[in-house]
Order: sequence, then structure tokens, then C-alpha cells
Amino acid sequence: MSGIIQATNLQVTNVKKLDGSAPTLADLSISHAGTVVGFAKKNVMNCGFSTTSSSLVDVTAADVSGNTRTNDRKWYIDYTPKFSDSILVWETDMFLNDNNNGGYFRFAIVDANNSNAIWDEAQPTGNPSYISAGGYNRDDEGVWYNHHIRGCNVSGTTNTMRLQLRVLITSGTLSNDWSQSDHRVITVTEYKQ
Amino acid sequence: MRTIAKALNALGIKEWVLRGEPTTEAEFNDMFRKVTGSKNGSAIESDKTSEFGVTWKQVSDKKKALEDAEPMRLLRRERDKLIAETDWWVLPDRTPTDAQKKYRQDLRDITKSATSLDDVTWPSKP
Repeated sequence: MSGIIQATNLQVTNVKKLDGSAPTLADLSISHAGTVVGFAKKNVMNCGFSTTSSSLVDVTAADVSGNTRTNDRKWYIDYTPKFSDSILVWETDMFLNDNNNGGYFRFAIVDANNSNAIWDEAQPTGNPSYISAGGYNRDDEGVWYNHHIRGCNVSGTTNTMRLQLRVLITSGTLSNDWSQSDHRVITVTEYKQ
Repeated sequence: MRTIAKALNALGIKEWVLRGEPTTEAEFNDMFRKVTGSKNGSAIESDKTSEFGVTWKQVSDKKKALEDAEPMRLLRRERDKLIAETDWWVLPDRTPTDAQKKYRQDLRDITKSATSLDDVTWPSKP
């Protein structure tokens, strides 16, 4: 059986599937606010990147098979939102070292398919443009630490986004090349508003 | 931090990004970018070797020098740690014994007899 019922208002006491079972939200194509409507993940290698740049540069990961860098190793994930008004949450982890006392670094997420528009730029809370920061940890032989990076933004489009991680550092050198075999994951989760 | 980044820092190069660990000039020219400015907060990266401010030869030479010096650096770091452990012997409110003074002097002189942690013979702590 198939067909479409169109009505301004439809009031029923119960809705059941043809087999008599209760329909799921997916069956009804209904998504309440807060429902996860999309998800994507990508594996990357947490290594092979160093910078002293005081303005935002793309973070990359090294090729696991050697020293050859390939373009798809940038620290990004492609995602096509289901709705243009959804909330997107982007997350990843890095193992970092900043070798300069007093230095700190800041991350940003940009949509590389949209002129590198920076996430959170107009959000009312937090430092505009930056979604995570960290600081000096002793010296270049010192403690490396895991840094969780999370950004949140309205999707604003249903076109495919390339959500690229960028970073700047105020002084010293930021490195994520603790290991040549440190696998990490990038995820993006879409929530219906 | 890997050695190419250390070499760049030792050479005093500022505002760069390195994506990978190059082992040849071709790889260096591909992986290294000099930040020449910024626009709307984003770095302007140059892939022109004439704007790098450093050559692969300078970087690779410095890398080798740092690697050659690394065994002695690690030796000194360990030696400094041992000396620091006995700093309380020479606090102003106490007088160290001759053996304690000799132990600390022997540690300071360790670089005259040893070249790395592999060939060092540490003095006996009194």
C-alpha cells in the first residue's frame, strides 16, 4: 500500500504500522529537537605537524607509510547536513606539545568549502573564532598531553561542508608529532533543532 | 618535537608550518610553508623557496649538528638532575662533607670523561 494523505490537520488516536507494530521516529520521518539526525567519522594520524604561525593554518596529519604527505591528510571531515538549521558538533583529540613558556595556541574550525568561514564567529559566548585553546607544558622534552577539541555551530546549509581544523600559536612551536602511529578520530554529529 | 622543527627553531626561523618530516630537499620544499602574512585571521602561506628564509642545506646541516650534540645533551640533563638531588647538601645552614663536595665536583666534571649515557660511569654517591 502506498500513497500520500494531505491535510491541514490530522488527528488520530493511534498510529500503527501495517504489521500492527508501533512506528519509530524514523518510520514517521519525525525528528524532535535534540534528536541526532546525522553522524560521520574519519580516522587520522596524530603526527607530522609543527607550526610557529601566529595566524590560523590548516592542521594536518602525516602519512602513516612514510614521510610523504598527501592532500587528503588534512585534519578535516566532509559532512552534508540534513537540515540547514541543525546544530553540528565537531570533535577530535590531539596529543600536543607547546615548547615555549608563556605561549598558547588556539584552534578554530572552518568550512573549507565556504571560503574558510570560521565557526562560532558570531556566537555570544566565548572568544570569537576560537573553539579550544591550550598552553605551554614545560619544554620540548616534557609532558605531552591529550587535548580534546569540540566546536558547535548551526549548519546553515545543506551543501557538503569540509570542516577543517586550524590553529595558531602565540609563541613557541606547537607539535603533534609525538608518535608515528597514533590514530585519532574526527566526528561530526548533527542534532535537529 | 621532531628534529626538523628543532632545526628551524635553532636557526631562528619564525612563522612557518611544517606538514610532515622531510628527509630530502624536494620533501622539504613540499612540506614547509613560510607564513608571510595574514588575511581575516588566516595565514598567507608561501610555497616559494625564495621566501622561505632558509634553505634545505641549512636545515639539514643544523639537524645533523643537533643530532650529533644530542648524546651529550642527554648526558648533561641527567647529570644536572643528579646534582640537583644533592643541592640541599650545600644550603647555607649546613656544611657539606669533603666526600659530598667531591661527588658534586665529579658530576660537574663528568663531561670530561664521558660522551653519552652509554659510556658514562657515574661517581658513587657518599
